[in-house]
Amino acid sequence: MILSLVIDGLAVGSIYALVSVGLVLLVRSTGALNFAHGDFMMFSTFIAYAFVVQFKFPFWLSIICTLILAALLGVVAERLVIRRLMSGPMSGIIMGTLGISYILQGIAKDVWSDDVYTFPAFFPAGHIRIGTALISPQNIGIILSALVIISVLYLFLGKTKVGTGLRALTQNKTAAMLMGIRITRIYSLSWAVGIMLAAIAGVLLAPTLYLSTGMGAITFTGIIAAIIGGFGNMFGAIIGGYLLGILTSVLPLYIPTKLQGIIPFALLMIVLFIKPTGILGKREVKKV
Amino acid sequence: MRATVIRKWTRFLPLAFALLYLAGPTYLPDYLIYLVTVMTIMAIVTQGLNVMIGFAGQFSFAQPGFMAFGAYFGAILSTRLHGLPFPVTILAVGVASALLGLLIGFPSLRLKGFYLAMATFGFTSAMFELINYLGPLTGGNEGMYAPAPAVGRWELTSTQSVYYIAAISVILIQIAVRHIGSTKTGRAWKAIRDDEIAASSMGIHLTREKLKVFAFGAVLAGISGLYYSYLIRYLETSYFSLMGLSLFLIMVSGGTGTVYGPVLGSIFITLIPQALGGVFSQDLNLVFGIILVLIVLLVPRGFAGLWDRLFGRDGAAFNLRDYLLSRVSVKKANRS
Amino acid sequence: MKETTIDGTCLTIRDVSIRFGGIKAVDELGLDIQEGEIFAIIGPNGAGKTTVFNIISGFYRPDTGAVVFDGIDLVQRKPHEIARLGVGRTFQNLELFSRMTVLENLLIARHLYVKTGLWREMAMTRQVREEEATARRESMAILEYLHLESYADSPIAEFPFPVQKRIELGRALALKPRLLLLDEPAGGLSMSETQELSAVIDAIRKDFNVTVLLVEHDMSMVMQISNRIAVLDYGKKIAEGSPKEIQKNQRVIEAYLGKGGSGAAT
Repeated sequence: MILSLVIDGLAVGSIYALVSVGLVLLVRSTGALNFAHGDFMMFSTFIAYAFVVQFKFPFWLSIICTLILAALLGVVAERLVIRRLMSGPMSGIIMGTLGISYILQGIAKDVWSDDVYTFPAFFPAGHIRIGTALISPQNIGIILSALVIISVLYLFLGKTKVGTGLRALTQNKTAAMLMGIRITRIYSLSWAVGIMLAAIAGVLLAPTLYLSTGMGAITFTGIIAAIIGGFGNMFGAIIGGYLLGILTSVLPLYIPTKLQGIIPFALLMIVLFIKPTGILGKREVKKV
Repeated sequence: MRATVIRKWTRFLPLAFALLYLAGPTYLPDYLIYLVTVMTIMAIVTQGLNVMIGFAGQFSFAQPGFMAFGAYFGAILSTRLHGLPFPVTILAVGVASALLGLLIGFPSLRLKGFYLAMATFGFTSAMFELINYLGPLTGGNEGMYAPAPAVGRWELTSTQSVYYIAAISVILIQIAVRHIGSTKTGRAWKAIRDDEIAASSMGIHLTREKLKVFAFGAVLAGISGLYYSYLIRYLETSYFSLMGLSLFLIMVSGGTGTVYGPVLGSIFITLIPQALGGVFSQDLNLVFGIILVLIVLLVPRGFAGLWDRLFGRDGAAFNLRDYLLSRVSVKKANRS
Repeated sequence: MKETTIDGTCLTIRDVSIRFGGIKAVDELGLDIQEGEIFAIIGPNGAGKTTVFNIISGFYRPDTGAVVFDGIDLVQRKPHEIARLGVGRTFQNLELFSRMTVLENLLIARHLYVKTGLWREMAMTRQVREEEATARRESMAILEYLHLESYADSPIAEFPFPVQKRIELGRALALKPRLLLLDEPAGGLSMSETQELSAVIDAIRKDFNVTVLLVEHDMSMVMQISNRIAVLDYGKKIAEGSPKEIQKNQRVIEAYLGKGGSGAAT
């Protein structure tokens, strides 16, 4: 019984991890806390839906087209809005991304209305029995896909020239500029990657959960996961996502149903009180 | 030249506005009386947020929680104690909110910025869960009926009465905040915002001041919640749980850290959906989003900030055209 | 108004040590600062000078030792309490209130002397208005002393670095301190600016009746205005005496120039 819950938790955690790592990437590279992240995910998933169900493209083609469009979406948002707000106070960025959030929801509602949609599953449905546990291949598929994506991300950041430039930017902007790295290109790139990650998370999530314009609320869970794991640290974001996923899956066994909604927040509070910088975060000390 | 003349006149603006505002129920149609009351209530709670964030730099998302607390506490109190005069209820809610504010303020002593925001957000969520949990007392998910302001047997059930209660409160609060902005405590709060270490080396008692500002914000939120319950006469947690966003938008669009920002922002945010509602009712989300983005790009310091720029102490004969041109060139500069 | 101990000592640092990680930043330091003198602490980079200041003003707690000011051990106290006792300071990297005006920065230091509470301030009672006026007057007086009065209502951010340093000095003075801690006041200043500043500090000592404790790298300032100097190296006091004595001290010269010592005397 626990096993299937853990698997469920890992699956949910994979989604959280993907959302969270994308968020942190955007924060580290452009200093923007993207409150519209979940809405980008929602929008990209609807785009995927359009390709698969409405245009009836083959699955693999739909995914590719979705990723391209998602990347484009990210770049447009970055160039039109985020870049201009980066030099101002954080409240400007927050308001800007909130505006984008409304815009995305508005467009989605116009095109696809408030209905709830079923996204076709691409992993075999049904359950496999292992011992007393019922495990769905869907979940296994999600976990494996997420691991693949995360590995690709790591290879990208670690081994490619572009990826290294991105890492340089997140660590020291001035030095990166002095090294001849075109930071404006990197800004756009990071938003392309970040939104693509969100899109993948959405596509993985959609078959399990119904697709609707309200999916954007996952932004907050992503932020919480990032904090728990150590905000600002991409690896921490992933850890936080999985941890949150497992705990939200397993804890309901021990907690009355009414309080289940609190789990993410309770975890957040615990982390904030014990070690605000999160599991992998570093203490920031101000020097006078 | 022009600007200084205008500035002389603008001193009377708040007074003129206040008078027009108090006289509202005499010339406004019913639905607008209601709307303006909502606007006033939002202005009050946002002013609390504005002082906490804009003056003292304490990023608190606790306002919706305090507001819900004030609403429910006041409603339950007046239900149990029939005929309790409403000024007493207001006072009771104020005191209770202040105490709660002190309690919630404790995390602020160790957490800053983003982390504090998350912790206070957690408090707010916990408050809503708590209200739902205390079903028998609070009506839980179904909500509860809230009594109108009362004095003994007399019940003030009209929208107008709530309008007046809120209007008088907001005027007093605005005056108070304006004073705070230019005296010792306000400066201490701003010092904490700018540089905590320097502030404490100047003798400012960080703990005391942070707790004070939390109590202040909580009181404003609490009584605004009570007024909301007087207006709507029915309470559900969903009324408050979705409010956090609006508060933030009101504060930022009005101008964070300014005295009149919350009022201006509240007018803007409350009236825009109304104004657009007729024409764009289908696309409300979309248009609102576009407007938000435009505001943040073109008027970064909010409406109060814009006003300051145009007619403020710098007094340069600023005009709108120059201002917009300067915004465009700032955008160009950021491209490098 | 100034309490003098029997022997005229303003501040006593006794056996103060502090460790950060594995490194002893300050090692059994002992100093006696006399009333009304200008006492300088010098030493190569990393010798622990600013750490000493941070201990005195209450931002760090030493592992051992005591810092006695006015009969009170500051080690137990929080920064704001220490400020209230009469210890003011400036910071190496300037910690001005960047979003406020020059005058407001000084008014904040007046915080201690303005006796009003939130309730009365909200109502702007006559008492509040009077206290405000007094605080403004006194702050403007300090600004005038430092020739900064025309900048009173301008935001801090507009001013060049040397001016900001003077503003911070003014702010520390507005606290009406008995002990003034100046952390590298000449840092980033040109030679002529440093000369000016030295004269100002010297004058302040007399005009404001304060004891000055100075951490500085600039030897011209140190030698010119200090009454006594202590030299720190790797957290330990290696010499103490008058400027002339220090200049001739072999250990000091070695610490700065020989043995691969890090900082050079500027």
